[in-house]
Amino acid sequence: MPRYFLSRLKVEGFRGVNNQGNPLDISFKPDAVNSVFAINGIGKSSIFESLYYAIHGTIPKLDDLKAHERPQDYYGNRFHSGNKALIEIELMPDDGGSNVSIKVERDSSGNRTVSSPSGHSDPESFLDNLNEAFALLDYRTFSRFIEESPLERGRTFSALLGLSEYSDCRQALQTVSDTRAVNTDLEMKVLTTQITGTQRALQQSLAALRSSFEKVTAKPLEDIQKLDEYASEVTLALGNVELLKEAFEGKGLGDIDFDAIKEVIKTAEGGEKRKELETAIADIATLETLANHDMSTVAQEQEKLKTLITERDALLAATRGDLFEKLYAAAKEIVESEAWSNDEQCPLCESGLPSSISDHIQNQLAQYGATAAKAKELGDQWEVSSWRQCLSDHELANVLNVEDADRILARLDTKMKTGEVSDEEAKAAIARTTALTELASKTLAELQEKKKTLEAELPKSLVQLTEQVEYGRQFKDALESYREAQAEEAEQQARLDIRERWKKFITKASARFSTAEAALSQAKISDIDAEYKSMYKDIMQVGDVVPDLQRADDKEDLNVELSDFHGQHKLSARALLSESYRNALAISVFLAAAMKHSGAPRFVVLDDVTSSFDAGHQYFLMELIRAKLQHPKNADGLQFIILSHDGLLEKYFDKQGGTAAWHHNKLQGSPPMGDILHQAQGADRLKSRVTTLLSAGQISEAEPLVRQYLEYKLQQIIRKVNIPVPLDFAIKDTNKMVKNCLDAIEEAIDLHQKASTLVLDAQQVQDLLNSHVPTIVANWVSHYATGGSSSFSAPVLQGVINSIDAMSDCFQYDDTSVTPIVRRWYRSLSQR
Amino acid sequence: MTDFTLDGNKRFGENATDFLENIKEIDPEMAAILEANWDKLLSVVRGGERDTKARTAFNEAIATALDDFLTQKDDAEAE
Repeated sequence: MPRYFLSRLKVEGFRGVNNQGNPLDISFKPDAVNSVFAINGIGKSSIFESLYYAIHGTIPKLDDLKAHERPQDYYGNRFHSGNKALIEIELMPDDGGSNVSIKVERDSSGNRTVSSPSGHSDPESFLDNLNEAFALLDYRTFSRFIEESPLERGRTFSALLGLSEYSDCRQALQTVSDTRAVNTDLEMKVLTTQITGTQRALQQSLAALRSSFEKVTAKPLEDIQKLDEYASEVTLALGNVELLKEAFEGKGLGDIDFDAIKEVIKTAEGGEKRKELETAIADIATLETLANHDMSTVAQEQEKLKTLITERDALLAATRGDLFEKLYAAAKEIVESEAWSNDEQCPLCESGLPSSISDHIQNQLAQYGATAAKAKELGDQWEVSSWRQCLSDHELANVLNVEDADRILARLDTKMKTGEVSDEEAKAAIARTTALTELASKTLAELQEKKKTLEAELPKSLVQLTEQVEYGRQFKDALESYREAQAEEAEQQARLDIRERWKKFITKASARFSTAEAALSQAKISDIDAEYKSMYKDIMQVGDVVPDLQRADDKEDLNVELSDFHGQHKLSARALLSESYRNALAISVFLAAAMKHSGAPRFVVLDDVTSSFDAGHQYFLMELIRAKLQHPKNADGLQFIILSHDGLLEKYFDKQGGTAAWHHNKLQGSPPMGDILHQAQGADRLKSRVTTLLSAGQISEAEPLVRQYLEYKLQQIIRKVNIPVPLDFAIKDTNKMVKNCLDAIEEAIDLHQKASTLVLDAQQVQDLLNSHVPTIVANWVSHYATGGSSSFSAPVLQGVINSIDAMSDCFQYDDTSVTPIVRRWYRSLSQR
Repeated sequence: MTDFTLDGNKRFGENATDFLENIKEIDPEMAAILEANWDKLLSVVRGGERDTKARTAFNEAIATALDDFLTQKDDAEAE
């Protein structure tokens, strides 16, 4: 896959760049260091922000604004009337392929549109590929690197080395393999509770099976693996009775209609007493089933639920009510959104806080969460409890004649499941359960007595048969319940087992990725180790201060130490290094990482990264880039684009700018209202624009462009004929730049005249000093520099333009040594 | 196969594919479920920031996939 050099940038209507109808258009050379100089306020940062926005879709400085400051209103240039910002970048592949141009537009509503004038099929993805942490670097990035916490630094570093995705992936795997998260999200605790409940139901069914089997066959049920055999025995035992043979003939237990059998017996016996006996036996069987409930388990569960209610109440008391929960939830949404960036400020009253508001909200919401979890636990425990089953069975047992109005289960269910049940309600439910079990016990005793009486009065064989048939029915029902519960338990256990299997798998997978990610990160650090140390030495010119990066084994932290500090070892870099040294270290690390990177961008844009350096260290950094890092001097090198406002650094840029390995641009203009142009963009375009505006009578629009044109032409003269300027030339009030230039030119001419070394001919000197300079001073400088520009008129300004052109021509001559004759600049004021 | 390394010369997507292939050795069926939900996993942490909702969404998808897996297994056994 090719990598890309940045070959061109066009900007209009974005941030400080107005340039309406006349985009700022800068070309960069892939095989040279590119420098862009502009004094403060001329739009240099807008260039960086344009590139940042094109690639990242955002601007860090605006991201830091609060929502009420409406950051979205500051992307477009506020004086551009087109309501649309345009950024176009052109990239050149390093494999000789065709250039790719990408156009990014942003309308006044903030909508971003990406297209490709060169016809790239997927410009959005193309920009995504350019989104590498090393490509666009500013002072803020470097200054933060050392100051950040080890964790933040580690994340920055991961991004820088192209490891962010690995780091995120490792953390994601760790998050989803966390035992607590897995247990909660996959509802493993719920499943465990469900299984316990089902097992309890199984035991209950088994007890009923044992009891009813013994009653039918007079044998014990010994092996639960032989339930099918026992079912056959029950069928056989009942089917052998002559009266019932027909009903059992050729049928399995599941097919037997016990109600029909009872009818057969009833017909054979007849009479009210037999019916009473049958009812008594059925009721006794029901009550005996009710008596199978393990009341000690029920009592334990009742205590457990009461404890849960107490714990829930304690947690609830620690919260501050529903209204505050809504407040915390809303606050959480705000502080987690992009609308709120200061974590130590209250979003409600905007006062400063001594600690993190996110943590505070998290803690408060955690209390509500714990209360809800406890309520859920209460509901889950109730749902599968023997107590609930016991109460349900008793309330629904017809033999106990519980009136609908007296039944409490439905209401209690709702309260328990929502976790809202009170301690009093729980106590009342316990009392009610106790009363019902006592009633069942009493009724059972009464019915058993009644049965004895009836049995004594009725023929013995049919009494016993009725009883056997009833227990046969019970066996059948219990067997069905047992098998259903068995299937349910198997399903629940399978779901729990597969979740356990997942948990083991994801834990192992996470550990495997984590080990690999740590190794990759360490390898990357080792890979750049020698480079960043060497670069640091080159920039700071010190050998006895050696920095060292250390990645923590089990986390993302990146520590910065000094392995050598004038003979002392393992010391804190943050504590000992001055700002310039810290920044040099950050720059070294970033550049070393950039040089090793194989991502799509093969360019690095550095915006004012030398602000903390003195002239010497600026020089060493620039020399490092020029001599060792820039492509093609370094065959694997990168393209560097350096943006700076530093006047001293510009001297270095100017000097290097004349060579093939360095391409220098200088920005001039009057942003944010006027245009920004650079010297290569064509003064002719500027002049033609001025002429158009003046012809249309648009004096105020033309004014800043006239100034730009004058400054451009005068500085061109100064540069071309090597006129010396004072040290503070570029630092002086920019409103006086035209005057500063004229003064420098006049003083230089005066000096050469006095030394009789002036190369200009007499006519040129006369025109210059008696006509052009006075015209410019009288018609521009004396008004503009003093703010008295209201007296400008179109003809006067046009005259100024004509004068500066004519003045520029005074520093040129006809070279007759070549054919055809060429108009050339004097080499200096004393030399052709 | 247990020694897995990430290749610094490959893109993340390629390494992710290698990783998913490698962990089949731990449990091929579970690895297939992870692979099917890989994008959801990557949403759990973005730019170093953990997203609790994304974690829940991922685990919900896993729970569904595990239950589907059981159903398919039962169906296959039934056939």
